[in-house]
Amino acid sequence: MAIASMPVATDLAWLGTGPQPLALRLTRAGHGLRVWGDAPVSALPATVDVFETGSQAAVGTLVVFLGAGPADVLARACAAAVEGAVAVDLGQRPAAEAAMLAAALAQCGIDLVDAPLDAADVPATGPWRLAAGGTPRALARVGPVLASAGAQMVAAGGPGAGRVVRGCRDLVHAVMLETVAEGLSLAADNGVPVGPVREALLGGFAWSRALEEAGARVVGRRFEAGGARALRRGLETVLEQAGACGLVLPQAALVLQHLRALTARAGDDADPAALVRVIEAAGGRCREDRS
Amino acid sequence: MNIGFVGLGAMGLPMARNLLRAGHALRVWARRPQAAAPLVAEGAVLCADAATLAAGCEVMFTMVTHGKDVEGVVLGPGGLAAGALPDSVVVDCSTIPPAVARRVAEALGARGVHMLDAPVSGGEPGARDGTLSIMVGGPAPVYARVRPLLECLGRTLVHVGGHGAGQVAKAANQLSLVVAIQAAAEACLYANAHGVDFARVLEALDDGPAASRMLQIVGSRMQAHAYEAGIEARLHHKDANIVLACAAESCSYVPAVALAAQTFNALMARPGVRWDSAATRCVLEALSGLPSAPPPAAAGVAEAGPGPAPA
Repeated sequence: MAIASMPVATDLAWLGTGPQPLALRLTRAGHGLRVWGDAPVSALPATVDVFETGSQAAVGTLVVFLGAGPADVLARACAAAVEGAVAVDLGQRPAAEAAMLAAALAQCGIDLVDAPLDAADVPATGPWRLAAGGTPRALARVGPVLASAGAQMVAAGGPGAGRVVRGCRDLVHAVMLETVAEGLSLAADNGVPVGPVREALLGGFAWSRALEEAGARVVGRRFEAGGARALRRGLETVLEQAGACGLVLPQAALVLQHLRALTARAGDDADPAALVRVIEAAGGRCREDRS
Repeated sequence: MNIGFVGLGAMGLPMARNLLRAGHALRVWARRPQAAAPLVAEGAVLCADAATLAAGCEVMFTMVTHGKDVEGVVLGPGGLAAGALPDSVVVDCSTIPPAVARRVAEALGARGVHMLDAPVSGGEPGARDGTLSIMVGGPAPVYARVRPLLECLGRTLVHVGGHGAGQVAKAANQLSLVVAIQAAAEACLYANAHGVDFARVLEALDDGPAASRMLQIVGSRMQAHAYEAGIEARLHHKDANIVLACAAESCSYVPAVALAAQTFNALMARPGVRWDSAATRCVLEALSGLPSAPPPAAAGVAEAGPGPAPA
């Protein structure tokens, strides 16, 4: 079935546990949202239609958003969508599971766009950016829907490219957190106050989002954000994939060790900015946190 | 104010020019007199040696490459200390080990001359536009005296502590840069190995938790195998080792920069005269058994490059 163009607002399916800020922005843009499996649904506006099965939710839709959830169940549900529909995988699943999902969808004639996304990536208002991989046709279909939710879609390449970009992001993010931890520890070990050091670094070539945000938590000794496990898993995926093609990524491997040390000592919910405590602990110089 | 400037390289020249344009009387000295020629044409006075320069200045800036260069130009024969007036100030903007900065400050102090360590970050564009970040170590009253001059050079001025504290902050700065460069190289290889154009990655990462100035600066050069010196790798190689020396002194655990320093060691061993730091990609390619792009054409191409270089 050929579909010439997408209407501005349309019915979208939302299956599995996805990043809710995106669901909110899609409904605000006027799209009808057919939801299955998202919890808590109560956090979504009353205008969404909630279904008992994924297939019911997917019926008649041209775009199906997939969040976390078993890939086989999600793939079966997508089969109820319009032939030629596009599924947008927002989940961060292991490569093997993602490949299985793609294969199952291909059998039903449904294109897959991969665009791994965290709730924290989607601001409540204003523009934002996400990378997506897929065929040009599938990306062209999904781009305007995402744009209606304020997202500038970066067409990263063919199927799987969105996950590759996500891997790059996790790698660079984790290593930048390591530079914040090591740099500020080095200053503190030399008796230099870390607040002014951070301020000076932000004004020059060393500016990074990690120093701006995680660095502020290191300076204030308040480790209130979460996400250490997700970042650790992201790096694990990167290194697994790199190993499969013979790539040597020494910094990624080193930082993964520190992230493992962090989640072992502080739990999966740990703030990755608390990498600084792993660095300090190596030399037995744990500084006091504020509660 | 009568000001002196020694070290008119890629960074020093535009910094000195900003002081001159702010209306200060500028005295300069350079090992190679032709390095000073553009400033002399704009009204600066060329001195026979650093001591002669110092004899007519309230404040003297130095911007050279190594710790031994600072010691030479300040404390060596014909150096600033030999001619410096009592109560004058030496402001060293070079990136050198904190221990050397403290030693020079002590030697100057014994002669009644003040010293600030004031290393900068922001590269040649920051030097040209007067938007550098300046990390200052030394006594607060001396900083207060010199601050109006630093305001001609930079936009972010931070007094971080006593003698050497500015160099400690700069070490943290360089730690971040050299490790960020390697992270960019690893991400670039990872993207390319999976058939993804790194330019798309840079576009996507520009607005998120992985964003950094270094990624944007070196990332596109890595993707393009453009290894003509933009930021010369030899300077980052030097800086990584300053960070490690500083960490060794404070017994600090800094494994990521230790790893990055090894990458720069390996890069400096490779044929090719002046590599850009983006060429760290080649080291990772070699480790992964991948072919690399050919080395940049030998000396000449890079000579005219914008990388910071000593006068």
